[in-house]
Amino acid sequence: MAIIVNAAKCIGCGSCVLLCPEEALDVSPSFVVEVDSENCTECLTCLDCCSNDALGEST
Amino acid sequence: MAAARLPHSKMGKMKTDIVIIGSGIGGLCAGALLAHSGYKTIVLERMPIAGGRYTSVKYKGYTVPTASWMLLYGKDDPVYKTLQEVGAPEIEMRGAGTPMARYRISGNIYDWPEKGALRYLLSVASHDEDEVNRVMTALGQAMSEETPSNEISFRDWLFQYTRNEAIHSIFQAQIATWCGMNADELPAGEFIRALLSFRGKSDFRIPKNGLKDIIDALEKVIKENGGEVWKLTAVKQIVVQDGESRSIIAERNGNEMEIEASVVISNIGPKKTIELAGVGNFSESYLREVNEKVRPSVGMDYLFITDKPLLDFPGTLYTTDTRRKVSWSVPTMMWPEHAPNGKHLLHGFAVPRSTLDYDPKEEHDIFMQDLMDVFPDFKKCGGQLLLRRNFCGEWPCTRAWQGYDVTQETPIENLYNVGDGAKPEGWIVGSGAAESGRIVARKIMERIKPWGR
Ligand SMILES: Cc1cc2nc3c(=O)[nH]c(=O)nc-3n(C[C@H](O)[C@H](O)[C@H](O)COP(=O)(O)OP(=O)(O)OC[C@H]3O[C@@H](n4cnc5c(N)ncnc54)[C@H](O)[C@@H]3O)c2cc1C
Ligand code: SF4
Ligand code: SF4
Repeated sequence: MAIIVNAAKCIGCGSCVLLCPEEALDVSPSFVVEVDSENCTECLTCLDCCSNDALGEST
Repeated sequence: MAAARLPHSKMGKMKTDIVIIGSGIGGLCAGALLAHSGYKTIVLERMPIAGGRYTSVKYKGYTVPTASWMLLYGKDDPVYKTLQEVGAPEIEMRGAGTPMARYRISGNIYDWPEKGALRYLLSVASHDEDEVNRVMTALGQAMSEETPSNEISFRDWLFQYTRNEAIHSIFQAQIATWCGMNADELPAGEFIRALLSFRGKSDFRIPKNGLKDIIDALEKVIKENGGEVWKLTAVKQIVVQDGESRSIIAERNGNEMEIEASVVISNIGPKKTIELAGVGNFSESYLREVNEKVRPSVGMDYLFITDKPLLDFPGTLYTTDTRRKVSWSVPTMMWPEHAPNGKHLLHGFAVPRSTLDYDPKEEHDIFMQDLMDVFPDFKKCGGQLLLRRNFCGEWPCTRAWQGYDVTQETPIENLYNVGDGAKPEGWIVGSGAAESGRIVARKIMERIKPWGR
């Protein structure tokens, strides 16, 4: 499983970045969030932070 | 290991006086006032923390706001008044002191004096006393006699008195910073009302741990008065029957629950309120009004880490001569504890040339050029990016442009909107969101008694 970002929906508001307990997210220069899969523990906190429905989980 | 999402179990049911959807500053101000007045109040928040865009978190050792930085009107701020009215303990806050602001105009930096500030800055920008008098007289008349129409933008209104871009840029810097808009997008009447609401009251304050201190205090009041603030609880539906809101359906810990409430207050923006209550429950004219009016104000927001403070005062520097009219501050000048020892923060905020249509990547390049222009020593001072953010869409600067808000009442009985899509005239950003919450709390207290009373 992994966190997937829907680049068309992500605005780069950073809301998920601030609340990821592993600091595994960052906003790219084109304002789309990037997931560092090395550090992501798949806790799914970020999914609850996104107002733009831009995050999901892949199986 | 990933936490699996639980399948829905049987729906739990509850009853309460007030349900508030969303724990933004508008929702929490309404909630604290109502709970303190004896209404059983349940606040439901989708995120793991309360406060929405009006709180702060620790990020990589720095205190970072989720969006909003400060209380704008000091002791006259609706947030401050709410804290007082609900008997919350005093929160330690600091202001910028003097000068509160500096302006870079045509390459030179000027302090915002305590008296006659606007005239002074316009004189510096203009060097033509007739022009300054013309603008100041027009502003004075607009503030004391006839407020200009909202049908004309502030930029067009000002064009009647001056075409001097240096003067326009001073106003543009203020409007961008405080409204997340451009002067050609902001209705003239609304700018004048905002100036009036600020007159004698502008007193910016930041709490010790950021705005989280305020959110914690409001949440505590709600809980101490028998209410609840449930996080990780997303409302999925507002149940409407016969033109009246009856209950909400929410998802919490993988379970669905229905909460019956005398009143539902929505803090999630007028468009989402309609979505949750069902489009079919609103008249065509209301739907059209919300669709046409409610568009978000936006902003590109940057936090940098430096080894030395890049400004030598705790207030705001407005650069009116940069590509975008940027506001800069060093929050660690006010609260050094907002960064690890020996480190500082630099905050920059700019609004794209059009809030309706912009390319964030292009705005980023422009912002970085402005940064290097204003702070040529940025790299030498160990400058590095902490976080870049684009506030827009469903996580905007404000949900409705200043002057384009909808009323707090909705066509559905006992369903209200609060927040920065329902700001009262003249009240800006978070303070406007808070004031909308205060208005709704008052309306409810006039109409409905708490249970069992
Ligand atoms: C960069 C920036 C700087 C700013 N600086 C300032 C400043 O210094 N001072 C100031 O006063 N204002 C400032 N503002 C504006 C201020 O942040 C907002 O106006 C204010 O926070 C809006 O509050 P709100 O009440 O509308 O609620 P919001 O903050 O929008 O909160 C709504 C809450 O509802 C929750 N929610 C959404 N959907 C659901 C659902 N279905 N179920 C449950 N919960 C849900 C959300 O998670 C959120 O927590 C700034 C804004 C930006 C972007
Ligand atoms: S799933 Fe958890 S650890 Fe992974 S990016 Fe999201 S919040 Fe961070
Ligand atoms: S919260 Fe959503 S929109 Fe915002 S940066 Fe994260 S994924 Fe993108």
